[in-house]
Amino acid sequence: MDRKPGTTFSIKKRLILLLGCVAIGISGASYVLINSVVSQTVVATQDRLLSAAIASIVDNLYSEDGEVSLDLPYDTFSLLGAIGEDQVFYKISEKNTVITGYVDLPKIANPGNVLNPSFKQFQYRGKAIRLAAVNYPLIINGQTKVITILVAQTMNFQDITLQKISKNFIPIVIIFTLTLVLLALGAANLITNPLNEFATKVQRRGPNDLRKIIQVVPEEVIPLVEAFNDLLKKLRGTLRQTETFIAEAAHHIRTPLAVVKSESELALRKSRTPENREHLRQIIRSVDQTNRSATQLLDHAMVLYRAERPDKTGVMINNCMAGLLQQLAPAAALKDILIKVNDETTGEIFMEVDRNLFETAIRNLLDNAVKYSPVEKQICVNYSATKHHYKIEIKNERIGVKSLNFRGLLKRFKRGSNAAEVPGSGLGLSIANEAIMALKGDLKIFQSRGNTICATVSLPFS
Amino acid sequence: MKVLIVEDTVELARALRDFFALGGHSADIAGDLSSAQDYLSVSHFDMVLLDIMLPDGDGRGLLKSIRKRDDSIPIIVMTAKSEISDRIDVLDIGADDYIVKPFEFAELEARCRAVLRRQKGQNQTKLSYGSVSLFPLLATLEFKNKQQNLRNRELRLLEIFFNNPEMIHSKEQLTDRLFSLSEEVTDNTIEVYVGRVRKKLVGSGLEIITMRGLGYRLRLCDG
Amino acid sequence: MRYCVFAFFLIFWVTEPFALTAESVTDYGTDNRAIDVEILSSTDQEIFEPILEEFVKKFPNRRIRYTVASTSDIFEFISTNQTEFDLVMSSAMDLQIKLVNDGLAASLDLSENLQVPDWSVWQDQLVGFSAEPIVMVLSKKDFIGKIVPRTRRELISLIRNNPSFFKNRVITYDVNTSGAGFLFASQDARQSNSFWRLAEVFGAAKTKLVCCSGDMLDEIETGQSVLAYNLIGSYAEQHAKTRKNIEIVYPKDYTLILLRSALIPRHAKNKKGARQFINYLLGKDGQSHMTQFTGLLAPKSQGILDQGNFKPIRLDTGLLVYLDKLKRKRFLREWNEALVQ
Repeated sequence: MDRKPGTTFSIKKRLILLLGCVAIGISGASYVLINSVVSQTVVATQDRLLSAAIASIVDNLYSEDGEVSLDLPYDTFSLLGAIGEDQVFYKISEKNTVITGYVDLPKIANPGNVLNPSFKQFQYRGKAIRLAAVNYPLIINGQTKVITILVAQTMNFQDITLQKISKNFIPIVIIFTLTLVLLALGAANLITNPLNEFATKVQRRGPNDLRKIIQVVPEEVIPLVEAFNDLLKKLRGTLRQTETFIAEAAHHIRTPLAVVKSESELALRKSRTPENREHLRQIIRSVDQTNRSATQLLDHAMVLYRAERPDKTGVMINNCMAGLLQQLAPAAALKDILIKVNDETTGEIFMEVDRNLFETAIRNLLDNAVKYSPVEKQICVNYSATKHHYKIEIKNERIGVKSLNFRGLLKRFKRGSNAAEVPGSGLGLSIANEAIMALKGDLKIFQSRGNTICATVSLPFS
Repeated sequence: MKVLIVEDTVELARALRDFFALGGHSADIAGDLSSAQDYLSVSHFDMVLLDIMLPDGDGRGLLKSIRKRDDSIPIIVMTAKSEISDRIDVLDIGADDYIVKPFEFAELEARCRAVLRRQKGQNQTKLSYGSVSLFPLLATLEFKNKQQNLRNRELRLLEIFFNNPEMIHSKEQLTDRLFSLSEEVTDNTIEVYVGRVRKKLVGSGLEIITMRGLGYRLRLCDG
Repeated sequence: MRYCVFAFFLIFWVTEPFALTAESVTDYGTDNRAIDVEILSSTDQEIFEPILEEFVKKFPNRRIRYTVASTSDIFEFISTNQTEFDLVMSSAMDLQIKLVNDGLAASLDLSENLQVPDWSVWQDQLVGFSAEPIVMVLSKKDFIGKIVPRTRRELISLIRNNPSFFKNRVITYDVNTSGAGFLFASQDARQSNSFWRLAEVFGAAKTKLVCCSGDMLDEIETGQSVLAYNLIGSYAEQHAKTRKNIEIVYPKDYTLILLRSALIPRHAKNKKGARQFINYLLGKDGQSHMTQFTGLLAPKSQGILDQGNFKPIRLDTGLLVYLDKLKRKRFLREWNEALVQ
């Protein structure tokens, strides 16, 4: 059971979150900044306007007949209301007496003078107003009276301006945030794309393919790719070692066995004592068995190894078959078994196969045929080719064919019912089967007429 | 026949030599490539049995150098390796055949015979007794200008008799030599083959007599 | 559909101090419905009726009560009574602006596609719905063979040069009592520096001072007066239809344009109904109907925009100035000095 590798976070999500926060942060800060700058500007402008208004009122303020007289300037008032369609309030008072204007305008603690009015913000009649206050000394009847002039405006213009900013700001914020989010995605993709591409390449590799992975990747991903390729190299090394081991094992098992066998055979030929002869025969049989087992185990290991990484080369397949059959000839001759070969192909055939697997499969099948065939019988070997397959058929008479379980024969270590009479560990057919499967081919064994067994091998061309 | 056995496992080399001796052939043993070269340069051999894995190198090197000299001496390579690639290699370089250790003597014998048969201009090896000639390589029996083909076991049986005529060979001895231990053999089996051979010897002046409890003997006919 | 009630009666609003003198009260709309839109206006019922009738035709679920009063009464009343009326229409632009500046108006919620220009809307709380030239009216028969004065300068020369002709035969608003008159006179003073000379000339001619344009037109018709100054053009035109002696002069130097304006009191009960009405009045249908059937000009009409001498009185806070008591005191003092000699 594979445990999923621990996941801690998603690069994309983090980036998006980060940049989203940054966007909002910057937007917020900008908004506050712009608002404050604009407010200040608007207020400054308003203040200047109010100053000018007060100045022009002051210009029209004079004493007449011992009284304060005021000729309110029409255009000043027009202008005061013009910018933002603001409400305009004013109050002219002397000490606590209101001379004219809106009586309920709030009092100012220290009004300024014409050159430097004091400004304050109030709530008046339910609205925020900006009030400018000035004290102006007026000489009435020889006495200096201090006239307080208040001029105020509502702050519509400021409100409208700030609203406009907000209104315009929101789409900008949205666009900005979206842009940053897209950037985040883009940035994340810059990382995840090469990684995904790499993962796909690795995924696509079959279990056989241990070659280096070559991909153009950004600098930051290079360490990963290099480490991975390094690992592959180590794996290849390990596999090669296994291959070498298998080869070495063969030699180290078989040579001593060869010694025992040869010595025993010699002894058998020389010995005259029946009991000794029997012992020697037993020894030889055991050695044979051991050798067969060893051979087949080694063959099996080799097939498994090659099934993982077949070494495909171009092979002249008919030539191969001929070689195998020639190799077999002496063993067959020993039992006076005639091998009848029928080449049904129209010429030499070129196939891309792992030669070792092919020869192991066919050799095992042929050995099996000779082993189980009675003496002085015939083995028929046909090989032919169709458009897509190369077919080999091996027919031989077999001892005790009737009660064979064909399916089971191909399973490892299963022996036919006649196997009791024939020494052998039973791996032969299963090795042939495994080798053929590793070649992506097909092996069928069935009973033909009478006591004949037929084994057909079908190998695809591509 | 004189055989050069190139094998570093001493016991195996000796066993092989003894085997060849049983068959009436002589053999020399070389434990490594350099002594093998020495032997070859000094004497003439009819055949070489060459092991691939030698202490001072790969047997293929020797194989190559022999063939380079245009020497077509029959060479059978012995190998313990499973690798088909090695075997193919070996044939390509110039070996006549290869045999995988451990092997049965009978198989070695058969391969030797096959290889020698293929040799061009190989003098006809002949065994004679009386007026009968046995050509093991051709697997024929000749007498009174009549040639008969022999089957494998018939040939081997006759070889045993012709190599040691007038000697008694027990059933077991014959059985052991003719049949591999994996073959189903009854008491009768050897009799069948002896019967066949007897038939083929009719009119040759030789006969095989059964000596009850002892075995069989090839001898000249009386009269 | 229409149920007319002509009534001259004093309406005492018991809880409030100011008594509104209603000149007429008329109901429009389906009989059996309750009154839901109360309109207080300074425009004569006869003049405005076609609009009201058209409105209730278009919006049969509305029932309007149209109350007419003087502009000053309207101002006084609305300053202290916020709930009795839903819509207040007055030709006294300055008084309307004051109400708005004092924060006594509610938002009109004007729709997007109005037929009135931007300059006739103030703060979405006050809107001018009709434009009226302020004209001079002459007695036709008295001016046969005489040059008709087209500018104030010409008028001044004419009067100076024909003292006997004009003596006791010039008539205009008494600005002390007439809000409209005061507005026109103060705007005149702003526009032209010849105003005060005109005032003196009027004074020398012993100009008659009256409250209302109706009076002025009557005198012109009879020939009692030969010149009436600063009349509302629509009234003059209306009378001119039937009274043949009335000759209307649109002064070439400048002709003031008065905007009749409407507002919704802050605490009006049926703001929705009022808004519906005002939006209708300001829309394409309302304005065209008004132009066709009432003799009132639409502010957006080509007549207003093209004429070089038409000077619309600006609907802005400048109007507050002449409401200032000191300023007003000054103005009246000068004016009285000039005219009442």
